[in-house]
Amino acid sequence: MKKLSSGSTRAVVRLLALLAVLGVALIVGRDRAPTNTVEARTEAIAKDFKCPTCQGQSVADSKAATAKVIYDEIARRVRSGESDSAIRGFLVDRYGEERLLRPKATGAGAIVWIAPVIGVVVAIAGLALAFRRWRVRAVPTDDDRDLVTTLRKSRGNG
Amino acid sequence: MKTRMNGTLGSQRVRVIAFGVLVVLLAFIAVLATRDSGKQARAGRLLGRTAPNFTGTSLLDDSSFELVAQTGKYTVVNVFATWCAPCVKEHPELVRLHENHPEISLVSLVFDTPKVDVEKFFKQRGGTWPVVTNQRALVDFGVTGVPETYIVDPSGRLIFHTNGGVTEKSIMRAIDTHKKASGRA
Repeated sequence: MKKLSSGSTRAVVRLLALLAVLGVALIVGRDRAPTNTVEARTEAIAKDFKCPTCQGQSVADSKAATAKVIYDEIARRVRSGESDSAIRGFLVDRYGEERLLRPKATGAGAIVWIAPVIGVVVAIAGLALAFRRWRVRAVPTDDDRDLVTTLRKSRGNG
Repeated sequence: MKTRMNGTLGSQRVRVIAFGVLVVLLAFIAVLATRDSGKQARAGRLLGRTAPNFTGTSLLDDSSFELVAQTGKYTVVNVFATWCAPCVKEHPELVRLHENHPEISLVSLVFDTPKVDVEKFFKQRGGTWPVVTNQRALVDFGVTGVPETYIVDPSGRLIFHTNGGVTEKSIMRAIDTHKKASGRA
C-alpha cells in the first residue's frame, strides 16, 4: 500500500487549517447582543416558531394577525416568568411540532440534524478518495511504459 | 485488460453508491409518509381535553362571560372576524342556532376586529349572545384563522373543532353524535 505523498499531506493540512480558521472566525464574530432580556427572549422564541397562516415565515417576522397574537402571548408568558422551554412546549402543544422552525433532535426531526453531518463526512471521504486516485493514476506502470515504447517503435521514433 | 478491469470496478462502485442513495431516499419517504399530517394532529391534540378557560366582557352589552361558568351545558365557541367572508355567511346560522336552541350556550371570540366594527356587524345582522375579545384565549385554543368553531361538552371537555363555516345543522349533528356516544341522549 502506497503512503500519501508529502504534497497531498500538505494540501490536506492546509485545508484543515483553513476550515479551523473559518470556524473560529464564525464563533468569535457572532452577534454578542444580550440574550436574556424579555424582548430578546421573546424574539428568539418567536423566531423558532412558524406562523400558522404564513408560508415559511416565523412568528417574529410575519405581519399576519395570527402571528401578532402568538407573539404577544409569548411576550406575556416571558414577562410572567415562564421558561423558554415551557413556552415552546405550550406552543407545540397548541399548534404542533411541525410549526417549529428548528425541529427537535428526536424522532423524525433528527433527520434534519443528522443528514448534513453525514453529508459532510461523505463529502470529505469522497474528496480523500479522489485525491488518492489522482495521485495513484499519476504514476505510470510497467504496462504503460511498454505501451509507449511499442507505439514509438511503430511510428519509427523508438 | 487493465482498462476493462477498471471499468468493471468503476461500474460496481457506481452501483453500490446508487443503491445506498436509493435506500436513504426510501427511508426518508417512509418516515415522511407515516408522520401525522399537521391538521389532523392539531385537531386531535386538543379534542377530549378540558377546554382552556377564558373570560371576557361582551362588546354588545358589557355582560361578563366565563367559559367554566357554562358547565352543565354544551357551549359553542365561534372565532370570527367581521372582514371574513365565511364568517359573514355562517352568521345567520348562528343566529338560528341561538334562537332555536337556548339550551346551548354560544359565545363569539373576536379575531383582529375593532370593537366599533363588531358592534356594527351585530347591529346589522342580529345576534344577542356574548361577543368577547381575548387574545390569550385565541392562542390557548390554537386558533390559526377565521372562522373556527369549537364545541365544549357539559363537563368542560372539547369535543369538536372545525375550520371554516358552520351551520345550525352541522353543530347540532356534532352535539347529537356526542350525546349518543356518551349516553346523554
